[in-house]
Amino acid sequence: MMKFQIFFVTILSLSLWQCEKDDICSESTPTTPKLIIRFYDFDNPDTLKDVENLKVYGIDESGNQIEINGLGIVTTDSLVLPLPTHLNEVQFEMFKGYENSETPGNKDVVLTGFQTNDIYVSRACGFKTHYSELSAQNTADSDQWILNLEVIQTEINNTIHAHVKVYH
Amino acid sequence: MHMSKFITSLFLIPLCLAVGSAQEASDNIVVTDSMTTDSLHVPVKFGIRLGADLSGLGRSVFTDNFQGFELQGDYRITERIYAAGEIGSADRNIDEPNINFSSKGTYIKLGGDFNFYRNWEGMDNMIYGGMRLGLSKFSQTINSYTTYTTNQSWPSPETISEIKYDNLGATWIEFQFGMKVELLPNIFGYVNFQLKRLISNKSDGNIDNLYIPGFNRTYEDGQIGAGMSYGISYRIPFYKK
Repeated sequence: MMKFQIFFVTILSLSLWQCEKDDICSESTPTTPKLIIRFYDFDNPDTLKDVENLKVYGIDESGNQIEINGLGIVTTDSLVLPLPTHLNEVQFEMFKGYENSETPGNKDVVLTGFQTNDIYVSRACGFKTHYSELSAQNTADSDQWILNLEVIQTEINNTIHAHVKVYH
Repeated sequence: MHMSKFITSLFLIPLCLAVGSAQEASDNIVVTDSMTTDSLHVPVKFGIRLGADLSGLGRSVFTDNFQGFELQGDYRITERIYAAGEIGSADRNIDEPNINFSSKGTYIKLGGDFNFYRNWEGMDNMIYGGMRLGLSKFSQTINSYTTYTTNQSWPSPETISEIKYDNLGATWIEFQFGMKVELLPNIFGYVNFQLKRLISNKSDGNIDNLYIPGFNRTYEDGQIGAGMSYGISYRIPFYKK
């Protein structure tokens, strides 16, 4: 009789050690998409054209420069830029012919606006943000290298197709 | 959380041991009693047994992420077969790295138990396997979340939300394995382990049901759940047969 009760207590104690498997957000999970900008020749609008020594900073709501992770000084005809998930508009400072902060080259500012929509992904990953009603314009200054820009895709829900064309 | 659960159970252990020795004395009386009656069939008590889950009670008292209770009952049909069920409520808050949410609701589980254990004369213990059909009705609230990005250039602050989904429901089939031990006459301690599989799971469509009262937490790519429970029950004896 006593043995039965000892067995019961043993089983009861064992039941208190329980572990739970944790879900991990896998690298391949579709995440918050980024803004894709492609650069075209102003005189020949169907032809892609590299921007020489391009450096891009984001500007946050307090006016601080935000370094874009993984993006240095590049000569390229396409840019992939992360957008903030908690704002509805953001400026990007684009420097053409950038060398360093002393000689930053020609700065143009592009203002983008958008609506955000947070979408559930999974227990481990949380939510992701999709963007809609994308708008983009360049602010005028005395020496512009960006001559025109055009939003070709107002919904940003993947990082496959270009959303904005910039002519220079 | 695990620690407090462990502490709660420590209170139970001396209780079990104390009543164990007390019962040995009463066993002797039963043995002599049965000597005078027909020794081929030892009558067993039939009745309804009602119990309260102490694991949930302990978590309600010692942690602030769970409020709930569970009542449990069984009715003896034959010497070894019981109709059994549980009814309960749960309000569970879970803080995952990227989501903080609460699930709140009630559940009922109905089925039966089969006692594998061959009792000696005068004993009335169970080592049993059981099956249940479970049904839960609940709501889920997303209290806050963070947005998943692979480029952390911009700060991504936690978003405080109060997204509430009502009228969620789930059904499942449950297998139980457990013990019920008579600690004092008609007073039982029980412990069981539960393996569950979802049959239906009605979510809002936008977001998965992350925790289902009675079923417990869900997993992303599966229908399987698990649980355990322990507590104390009392048998109201109806007759001996």
